[in-house]
Amino acid sequence: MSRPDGLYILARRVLLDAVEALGDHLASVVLVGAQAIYLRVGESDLAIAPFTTDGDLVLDPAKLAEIPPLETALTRAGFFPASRDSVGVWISRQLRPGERVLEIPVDLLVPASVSPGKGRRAARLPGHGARVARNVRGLEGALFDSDRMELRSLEPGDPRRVELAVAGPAALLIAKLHKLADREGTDRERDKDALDIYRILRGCEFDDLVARYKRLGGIADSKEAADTGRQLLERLFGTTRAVGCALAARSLGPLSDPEEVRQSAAILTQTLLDELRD
Amino acid sequence: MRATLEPRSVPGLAGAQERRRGQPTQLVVVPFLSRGTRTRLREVGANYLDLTGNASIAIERPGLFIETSGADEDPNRTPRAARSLRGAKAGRVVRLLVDLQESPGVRELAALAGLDAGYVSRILALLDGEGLIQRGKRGKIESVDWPRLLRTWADESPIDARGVRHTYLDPRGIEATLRRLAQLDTEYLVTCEAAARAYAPTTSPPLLTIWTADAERLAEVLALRPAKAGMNVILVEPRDERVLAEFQLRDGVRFAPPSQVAADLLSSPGRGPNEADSLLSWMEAHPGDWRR
Repeated sequence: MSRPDGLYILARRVLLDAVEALGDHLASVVLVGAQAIYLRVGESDLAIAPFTTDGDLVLDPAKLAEIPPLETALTRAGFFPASRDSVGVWISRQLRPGERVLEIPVDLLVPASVSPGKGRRAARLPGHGARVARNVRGLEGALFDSDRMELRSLEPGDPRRVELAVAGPAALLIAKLHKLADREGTDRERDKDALDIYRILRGCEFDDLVARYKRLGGIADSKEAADTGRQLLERLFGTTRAVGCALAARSLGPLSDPEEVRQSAAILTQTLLDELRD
Repeated sequence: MRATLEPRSVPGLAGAQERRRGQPTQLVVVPFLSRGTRTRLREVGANYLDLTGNASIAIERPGLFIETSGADEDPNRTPRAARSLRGAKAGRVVRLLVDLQESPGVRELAALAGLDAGYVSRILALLDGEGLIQRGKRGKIESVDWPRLLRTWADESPIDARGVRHTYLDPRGIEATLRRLAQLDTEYLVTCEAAARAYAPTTSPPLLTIWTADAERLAEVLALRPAKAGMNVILVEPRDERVLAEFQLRDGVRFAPPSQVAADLLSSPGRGPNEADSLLSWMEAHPGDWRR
C-alpha cells in the first residue's frame, strides 16, 4: 500500500481532533463516509490517491446525552461553523507544510428517520444547538451495522489512537447510494461517491456484506433505507452503461481501463443483488 | 586431401581414383569419412584413409591390403545449424543457456532440456553463427550473451507463438486474483508485469498474465469472467507445458523465473517492452540473484 498523501494525513488529524472533542458523547458516534470506507477496505489497489478530506460522523439521538453541548465542545477544540447558515459542517483550519491554510470539514449527521428535527435540514438535538448537526437520509444503517475499530494518527510524532464505532460495509454502501442519488448534476463530487461504492463492492467480503445487508433489511428503523438502497444499486450500477458505473470509471481517469471498471462494477452489483434476493 | 567428402561427391572423384594397373596409386585422405561415403568409395574401388582410422587401401605391387574401421561419427562434426529459435524445443535450450552460470556440454544440455543431442547441436550452431554464444575448442560453450539471446528469442518466438491466450475479467481486480492464486495448489505461472514486480520495482500492473495448462479450469477456480473488452487477466496455454515446471514462490504465488518473464514482456503489447528493459537491467546488475 502506498504511503498516504499529506492531505489524507491532515484529514485524519482533524478527524481525531473532532473525535477527542466529542469525547463525552463518543458512545453515540459512528464514523461513516470515505474515511470509514478506507478503514474497511484499505486504499485498495485502485490507481488513485484518497482525496477525501472531510470526516463524516453520525450521531445516534437515542444515545446522545444533552450535555455538554456539542457546539461548545467543538468550538473549544478549534472548530467553527462553515458559515452563518451552514448546518452540521464544522471547519478546522490547518496549515499544510509549505502551503496555504486549508479548511478541513467534519460533518455531524443524524439519520433523518430517527432525527428529532422534522424540518428539512437541522437535526435539532435536545440540549444542543439547532444547527450543530443535520438530517441525512439513508444513514440509518450506521446505527445498527458498525464495529469498534481503532483510529490512529498517521503522523510519526502523534501517538493518538482512539477506539470508536465505524460503520459496517452494508451501512456504508446504503449511505453512499443515497448520497449519489441525492446529488444532481455530474460534478466531481458525484464521481467520488460512485468510486467509493465501487471500492466497497470490490474490497468487501461478499458473504459478510450480504449478511449485514440482510440484517439491516430486517430492522424496522433501517429497513426503508436498505430497501431503497437495493433499488438504487440496481438503477445506478446494474448494467455496464448505468450512470454509477460510468462515474466510477471517469473518476479513475486515464490510469485505468474504463471498460474494466464499468464491467467490474456491474458484475459485482449483479452478484450482490442475486445474493440479496435469496 | 580434402576437408570433407560427402557420398554425393564420390562419383566425381572416382575416375581419377580407380585402382588401375600400372597407374600411380592414389589415396583419398579426409579428416572423417562417414559410413555412407566409405561404402561409395569402396564401390568405385578408391583407396581411402581418414584421421579416425577408417581405411581401405589395396595396392597390387607391392602387395598391400589394409582395411580398418575407425569412428562412425565425426568427432569434430560441426552440425548443420537450425534455422531459427521458433518452437518449444529451442525455447528450452535458450532458457537453460540464459539461466545457467556454467554452460554444460551438449549432452548434458540435451538431457536437461529433454531433447536429443543432435537437435541441441543444431541450435548451438545457430547461436554460434549469430555470435550469441562463444565456443572454445571442441565446441565447449565459453560464454553466453544472454541479454541478446533473450531478445532474439523473444523476437523470433513471441509469447503469442508460444501459447494461446484467453482474456478474462476479475471484477475485484488483479490484486484479489493474486491473493486467490496464493491459496491454490495447482500448476500455473504468473508472468509479465505482475511477475517483473516480484523481482524489480516497477509500477503496479494493469494486467495479470498467467501461464496455465487449462485456462477454462483456472478461470473457473478463480471466478474470472470471460471478457473481450475491459479484461484484466490473461491466461495463456503453453504449447510446451514444460514452461510450468519452474517457478519461484513469493507470498505463496508461483512466479515465472526472470528470464521467462523478460522474454514474455518483450513480446507483450503496451508497456511490456519498457518493463522488460527495467527487468533486464536488474538482471544484469544482479546475476547472482537469478542465474544458477
